[in-house]
Amino acid sequence: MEPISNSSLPDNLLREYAPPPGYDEAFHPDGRLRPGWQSLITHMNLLGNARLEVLRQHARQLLRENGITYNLFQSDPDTVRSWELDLLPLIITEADWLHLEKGLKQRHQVLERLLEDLYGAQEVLRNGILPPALIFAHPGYLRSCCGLPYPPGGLLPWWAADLVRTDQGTFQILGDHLQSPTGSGYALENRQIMFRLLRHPLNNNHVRLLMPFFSALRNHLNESTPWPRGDPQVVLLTPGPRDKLYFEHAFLANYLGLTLVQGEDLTVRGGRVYLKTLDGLHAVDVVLRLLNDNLCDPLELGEEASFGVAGLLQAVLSKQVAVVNHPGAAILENQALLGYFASLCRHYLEEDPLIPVIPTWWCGDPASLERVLDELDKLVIQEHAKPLRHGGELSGLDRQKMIQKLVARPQDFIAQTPITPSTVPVMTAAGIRPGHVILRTFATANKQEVEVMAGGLARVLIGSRQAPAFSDPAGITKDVWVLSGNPIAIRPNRLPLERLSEPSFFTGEISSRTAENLFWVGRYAERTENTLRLLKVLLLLPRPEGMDVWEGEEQEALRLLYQALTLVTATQPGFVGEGAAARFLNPERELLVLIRSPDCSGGVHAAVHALALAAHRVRERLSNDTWRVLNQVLELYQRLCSQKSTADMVGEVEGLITTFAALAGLAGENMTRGLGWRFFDLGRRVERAIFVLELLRATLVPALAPEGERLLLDALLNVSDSGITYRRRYRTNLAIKPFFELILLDESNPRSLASQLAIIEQHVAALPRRSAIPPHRTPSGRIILETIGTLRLSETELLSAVGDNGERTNLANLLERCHVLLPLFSMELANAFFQHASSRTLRGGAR
Amino acid sequence: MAYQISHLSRYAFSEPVTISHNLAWLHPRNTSHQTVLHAQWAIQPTPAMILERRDVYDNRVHYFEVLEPHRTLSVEYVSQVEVTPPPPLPATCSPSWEEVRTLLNTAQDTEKLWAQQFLLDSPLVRRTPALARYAAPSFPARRPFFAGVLDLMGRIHDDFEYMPNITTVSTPLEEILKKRQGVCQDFAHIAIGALRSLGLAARYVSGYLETLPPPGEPRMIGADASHAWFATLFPGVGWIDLDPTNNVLPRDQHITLAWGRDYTDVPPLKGVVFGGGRQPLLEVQVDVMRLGQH
Repeated sequence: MEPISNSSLPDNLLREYAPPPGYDEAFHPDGRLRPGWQSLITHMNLLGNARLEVLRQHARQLLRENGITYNLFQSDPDTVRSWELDLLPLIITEADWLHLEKGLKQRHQVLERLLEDLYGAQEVLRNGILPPALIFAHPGYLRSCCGLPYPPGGLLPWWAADLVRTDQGTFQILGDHLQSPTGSGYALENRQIMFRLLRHPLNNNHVRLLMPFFSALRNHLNESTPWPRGDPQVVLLTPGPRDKLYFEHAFLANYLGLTLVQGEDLTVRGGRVYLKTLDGLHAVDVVLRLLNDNLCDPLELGEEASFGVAGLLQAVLSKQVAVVNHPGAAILENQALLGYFASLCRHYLEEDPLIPVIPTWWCGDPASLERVLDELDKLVIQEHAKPLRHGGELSGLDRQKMIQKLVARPQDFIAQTPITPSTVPVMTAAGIRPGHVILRTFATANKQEVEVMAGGLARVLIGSRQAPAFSDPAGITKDVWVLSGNPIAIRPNRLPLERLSEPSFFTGEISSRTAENLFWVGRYAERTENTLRLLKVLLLLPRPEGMDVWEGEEQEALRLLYQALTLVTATQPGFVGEGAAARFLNPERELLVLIRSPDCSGGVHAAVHALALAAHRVRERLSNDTWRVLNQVLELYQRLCSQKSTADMVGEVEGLITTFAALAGLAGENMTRGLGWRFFDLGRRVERAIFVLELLRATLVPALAPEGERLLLDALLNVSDSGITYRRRYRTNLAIKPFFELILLDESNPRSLASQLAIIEQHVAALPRRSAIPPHRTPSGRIILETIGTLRLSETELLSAVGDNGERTNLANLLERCHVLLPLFSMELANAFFQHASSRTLRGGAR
Repeated sequence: MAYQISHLSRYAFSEPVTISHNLAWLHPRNTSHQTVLHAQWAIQPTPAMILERRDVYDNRVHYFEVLEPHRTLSVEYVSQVEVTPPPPLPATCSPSWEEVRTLLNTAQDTEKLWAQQFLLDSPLVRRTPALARYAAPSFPARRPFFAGVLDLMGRIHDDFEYMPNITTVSTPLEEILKKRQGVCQDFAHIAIGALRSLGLAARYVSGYLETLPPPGEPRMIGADASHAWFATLFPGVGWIDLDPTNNVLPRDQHITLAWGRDYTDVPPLKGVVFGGGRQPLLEVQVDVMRLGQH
């Protein structure tokens, strides 16, 4: 096709747009714009290239800040791929949409009827509409699901389907997603970003909203309960943070107000499903699972015990819980079924399919096999669960092998006619280029109605025509604009709360796994911040290399501070032990290892990574602002690591300390004062208390002469950010007794050891307890009481006394005692609230 | 003949198990020649709940939950069963195995639709050319179906050595076919795979066998084991059981527990435990005692 010349456009972005032969979504073959596109393209042209580039960068930034592209588990940078949002949407006209919507509703009805039939009466097998082997030999046909009760909300409350538009301009179905119909969260995320960047075109074009879909989904979930409940408890079951789509799971849970759980958070007792929370078991009515069938119940559906919930199927059987989608749905993802859809549609509804399916043959049918062998060169062949092969691209030997396999195990293969999806303009760095587009649509249903999302997720393939696996959230995506003839009242993209039941697990009822992770977010954030504070002070002091400035006691003070850095981070040898003197005089290498080596287990890299990991695991509990601050931490840290020498790092270290302060501020201001916040804060307090006492143990137990001690105290006050308080309160020279008063004993100084312990004690009193026993008689309460008592009974006079050995023995004893008690406290807390056992599958009796 | 069967499984865990969910296929089926007279559980610790249901093959399955912490779990099922020999087979007028195959693969009535499941691959038994080659000598062209099946059973009995503890549930069938060693489950799976590879129907039967002591010696209690064999579908006649481990057609010394496509459909006991530490030790005692003769 010739480049399109359209002189009516002022700044013609599409001047060089030249789609290959086939159907283009934006342009007629003669170069005229298709209906619906004019106003958008005009708007884009008015914005002009430069402004669009700014918006593009902004979109990228928003995606990154929201954490969509951040993949913690991909350590190899080459394999980290990003999810991109193209500013040009895919536009679907009202007329096209009405057809699609009707066709998708029809398809849903057929799938629902088929699933019920396959696990029930098996009419389509008896009538010869489906060959029995197509079902019986498929691993997705789960015998344990035969005879399950029909749930009140239907079998398939949600569903995703992939579509393409072919050369002729008609839509065709590529396949269905029913076990874990993902992508709607990404569609919503894309829309929220588009709404920020291109609000006017969205308004002016009467683009339909996505919200009615989510609102209906939320209602359908509530209606799925096996019996009427005023306030059903709905959880979203995810495989966990290692899943590539975990971001979406967390995002959806957050948006829909569902509790995000992993298998280990749930337990089946007496045939009922419960969520294990800090204050006991809470019954669950609906499980929205984003797990494949064979992972849902290790007792009945598969052997893998690490994701699902043992006994879940029994709970469904006993009508105690609804699992959405219904277990057994995997069989509908059998691609071979595509070839029989028209007959199934006629059988169940006495209608022809409104949206055709991509032509598909199941080779297990002898007639189809014969045809496939005859036309091998013109078809794509797919073996069950393996990549597509183009018959025409097979070399002689491969072709022979393929034919042998087809003949030996025909039931494992399907064949399809190759398709060329329609093209659509895509903004790339090299200008606007055509890309092939695949449309994922979403629907939610109850027994009466099907609500199709007026939009979807468009994925663009540049250069390649073959769709990558969706489990890989990578590549270019587009928002999908479904146009309406009438203006749309724009509302904020939030679910209307009055249509939701009260989110029930918001405060008290958090799972012990969530509590544990929040505790560790607190600990690692504090740990990183403390290490950075100490580092900053060291970097600002004269360097040991320039020792000629200082000597004697001052040098000794500096040495103690460097030693403290090693001791508080437990990164020995560092500046401790054999050879420490030489390393102290030339500290650069050791400092760099501590700051950026991934192999340094107590170093900054490890702490930042552990923080990101723990935060990722409770993604749905963190506000977007918190998440953005965490992303800033990661970015600043990366910048810190890219500096050549520690002398250049002060700016980034200070920036990071400020960012951590922002994080603490956000937690203080924006987290509900529920158990989640308590565990987060407990983590921070425990870590800070341990830091203070380790720091003092490393520096103040040996007594120095006054010059050295002044330097030391000044540095320590800076590390603990208490210098101003000290000077305001004491207006004296630095002296050890007031220092101990302020840093150890003063409960009104937010950085003192005493104040950490007092806050910990308050938290402990507010934690759930099994019986009516007072908090100080729980194991963790007892320990914290003892620590506080020991500290309150201490006197600065005695603490500062120096013994014959030149050490402050009383101080050493106090710190040692606390140093034993605090880790013990942390352990008791874990015993009481974080216990997790792993599960295993047993077989027995026969061997 | 009437029997009392006691089947005890005892797990010993290195660390406490906090909760366990279990499924048991331990209740003998009622069949045309077998009637269950009485059955009773003895589970320690006492389960919080036991539910009975039927699986897709109409076996009786029990689901139970143990909710108190435990270091040992013992599951005993005692049943009394009356067994009569099945009617003799019309061995004289047997159709050829090819005819049987055609019958199985064409008609769509309920019995044959159902039989389709037993023609296809199942989790532990995949049809392979090697299994088809192994089966071939027993099924020359136009051999009567039943003569072929009997011959196959005899060959498995002769070719394979009974050898406990060298195979596990997860040992692939190809490996067992190569090594020619295993236990009764393995021989049943070999026969099932061989028949299915030729397009014939076969299912797995889990059960017990009365073992008689050598003449003059006393019966040893608990010396028995659970047993397994296979059955094949003879259209118009029904399913016929064959025991390749002993090269016999079961009469009244075989007690049927449950059947399915292979072992995975009907393990006597299966569970998921939380905690428990290392792989637990499992001790199994099976005792099959004739009633009315002590």
